[in-house]
Amino acid sequence: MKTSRLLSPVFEASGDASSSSQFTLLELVQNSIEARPGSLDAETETEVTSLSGGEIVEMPQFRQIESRPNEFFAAIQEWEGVVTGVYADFFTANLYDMKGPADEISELAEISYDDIDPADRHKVQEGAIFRWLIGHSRTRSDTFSRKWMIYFRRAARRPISDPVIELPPQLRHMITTQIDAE
Amino acid sequence: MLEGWSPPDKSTIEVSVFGRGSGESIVVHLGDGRWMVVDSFKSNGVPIPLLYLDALGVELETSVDLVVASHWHDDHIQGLAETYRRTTNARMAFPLAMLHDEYLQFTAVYNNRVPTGKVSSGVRELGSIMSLLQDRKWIGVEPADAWKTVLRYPANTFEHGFPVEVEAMSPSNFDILQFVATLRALPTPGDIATRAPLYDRNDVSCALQVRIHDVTIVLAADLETVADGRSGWNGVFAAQQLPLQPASLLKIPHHGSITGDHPEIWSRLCGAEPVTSLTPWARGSGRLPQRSDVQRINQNAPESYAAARTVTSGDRHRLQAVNSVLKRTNSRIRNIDQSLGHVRHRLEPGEGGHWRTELFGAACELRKIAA
Amino acid sequence: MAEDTDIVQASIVLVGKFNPAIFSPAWFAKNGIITEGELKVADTQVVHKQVTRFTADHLTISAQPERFTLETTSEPIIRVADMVLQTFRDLLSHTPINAVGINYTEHWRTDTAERRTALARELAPIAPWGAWGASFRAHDVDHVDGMNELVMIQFDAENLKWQRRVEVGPSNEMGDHARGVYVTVNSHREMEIEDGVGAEPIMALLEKEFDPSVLAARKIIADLKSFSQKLELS
Repeated sequence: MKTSRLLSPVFEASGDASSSSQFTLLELVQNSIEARPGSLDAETETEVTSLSGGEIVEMPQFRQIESRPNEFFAAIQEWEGVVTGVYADFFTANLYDMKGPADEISELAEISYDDIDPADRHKVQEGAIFRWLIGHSRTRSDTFSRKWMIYFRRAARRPISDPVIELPPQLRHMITTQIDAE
Repeated sequence: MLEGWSPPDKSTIEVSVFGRGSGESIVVHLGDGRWMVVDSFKSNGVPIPLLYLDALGVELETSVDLVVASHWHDDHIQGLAETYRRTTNARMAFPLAMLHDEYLQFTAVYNNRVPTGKVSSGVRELGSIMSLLQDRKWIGVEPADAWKTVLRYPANTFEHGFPVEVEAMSPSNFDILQFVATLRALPTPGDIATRAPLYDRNDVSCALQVRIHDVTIVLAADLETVADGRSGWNGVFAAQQLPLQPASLLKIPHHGSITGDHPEIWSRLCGAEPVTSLTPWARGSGRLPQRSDVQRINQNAPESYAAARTVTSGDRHRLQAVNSVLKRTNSRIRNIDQSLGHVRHRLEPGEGGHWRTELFGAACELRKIAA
Repeated sequence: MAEDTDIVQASIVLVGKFNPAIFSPAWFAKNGIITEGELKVADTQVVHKQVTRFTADHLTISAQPERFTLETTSEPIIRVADMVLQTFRDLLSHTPINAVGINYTEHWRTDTAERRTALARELAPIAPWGAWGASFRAHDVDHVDGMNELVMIQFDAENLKWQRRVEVGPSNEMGDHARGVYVTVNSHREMEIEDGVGAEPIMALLEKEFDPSVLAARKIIADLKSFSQKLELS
């Protein structure tokens, strides 16, 4: 049975550190990608960079790692929200169901600060965009629990190039006249 | 689409006010199959003006003469760029403040701060409109400030024979420059994705009068009354240019709020007991109109309507598992009623008649609206 | 997604020209793309001019000269898109990138091993395989003859270089050899990019396409799960 590609790869190294490698590191990684006969374009699928299968090569020692998260959160409801008001104990928000039409508010929320990560408190500002997810977490030992999380999105630091709005002379004159009149 | 929609007769004036839990759009028939649009929101991804006009079989490319963005808040402007794109013959009006460098810079800063997809962005929508104007070489642009005529047809242009004029009553010069000064003073935004601020500011709202012979209609956008005598409704009434003909139909300002009201709206701007319509609004636990607003409006205008009801609560649309998690939090969520409503007012000008009003979808008499 | 989902995984793969040596945990932390907490637990396998790879909690980042991958095994998966955008839209916008793949995977378990086998039989019937197919058996939970992995592909009608590829197979992620299923949906987009043009076109595409791609992937998987649940078992 094929194991899914969730596991982090484990590099196995043997031989002493002074041995030269038989392959470049890049070749090692590329050789590990499973071929998929018949696939037309697999170049953007998540690759398996695993060296499992007992390949032993002589190469410098790398750190051996085993990083396997034990708990996974899956959502059954997701909203994108925008903060509409900031108050002492809570903030208000318009919520847009991710499964609903764009631009249509589906619900209105009053979210207590108790329900967000205290480290995110400073992110609550009028107009801030966030995702509110409700779902469950499951551990590898199959323990199930209901959960929610609120994630504040990051803004673009540099705007994607905007078309420049160049006003024609008559409109520019209108603005100038108005400023001068006042 | 709502059941019962049908086009007006050529000589009939129509003012259609659309709303739902959040959103306002007005479509006006000027006569002879010629239309104007003020503001927009979307229903199932379709801009309401296009939904309505397509349903009536209106040829958008040739039959819409004017599109107006009363201001840039997203409950008034969603889908307006697409509306303007399809109405290729229309003039485009918006508050003059939107042409100031400070606002264009504000747009450039905030245009890409909202990730694409879900949260609507009025700034982005208005930016799209500006791009379309630029592509059209600014032909038909009508930057509006107080007492600027944005559309005029002389007598005998239409089958009804009457002249048609659409005039902006606001924003005042003072309000425009105050707004621009506020933009200049805004702090640089930080790392968190944010929508553009200043959603509480309605001082650059463009309120309109539409005059067709003996009929005057006021579409009051979100204009409010503030302390300064040069600003908002105070600014409108400080100027002497009010119509000789008081309005018989009023789209209530700012969703019926007390701040949208002004005593001279009833004493000078409108005739005795005008017919009125409003659209509701909600944010957090706040909602408009409040019960006191409904009472106040009904005292001045017994024949008043709401284009939609306000929010409802209830868990009916959510998974039980989601509700059970929500119960464990200290937060509250309320459904927003997105049922579409439409108040349609029709009248034949020159006959001294009364507005005939029909209600579609979620629209109702104002007195029935639950605060 | 339904409550039977055990694990959600998402990744973004970029094809272009990269300098793997840049992409250390410290670089990501310095630029605010990973948190200080994630930096502390980061496990670096290698940072080298030809290959970089590290994990931090649920994240895995790897880079080669022509490929960059950022992967997560937990919600919020939108964070993967935000991180890639911060990296290549905001910081390294000069990087030539001509293709992006948005990968979404769900692992779940059917209620019984029989249902998983029944699903496999529906997706890949054994009848066309004649006598050989007729000889297929379930030897034990780890050794069931028949479909091991199935791939379906759909091309975009308006751009044949754009495609959606769905792979389904058995999953052992929750230690259940008999019932686990995974489905991976890959949405692949590529563009002709002129010399000198950096990451902007692909980043604009990613920003626009990430959520719709995930939504489409979730729908495909939900339909498959629903189909599986309705199968009548003998």
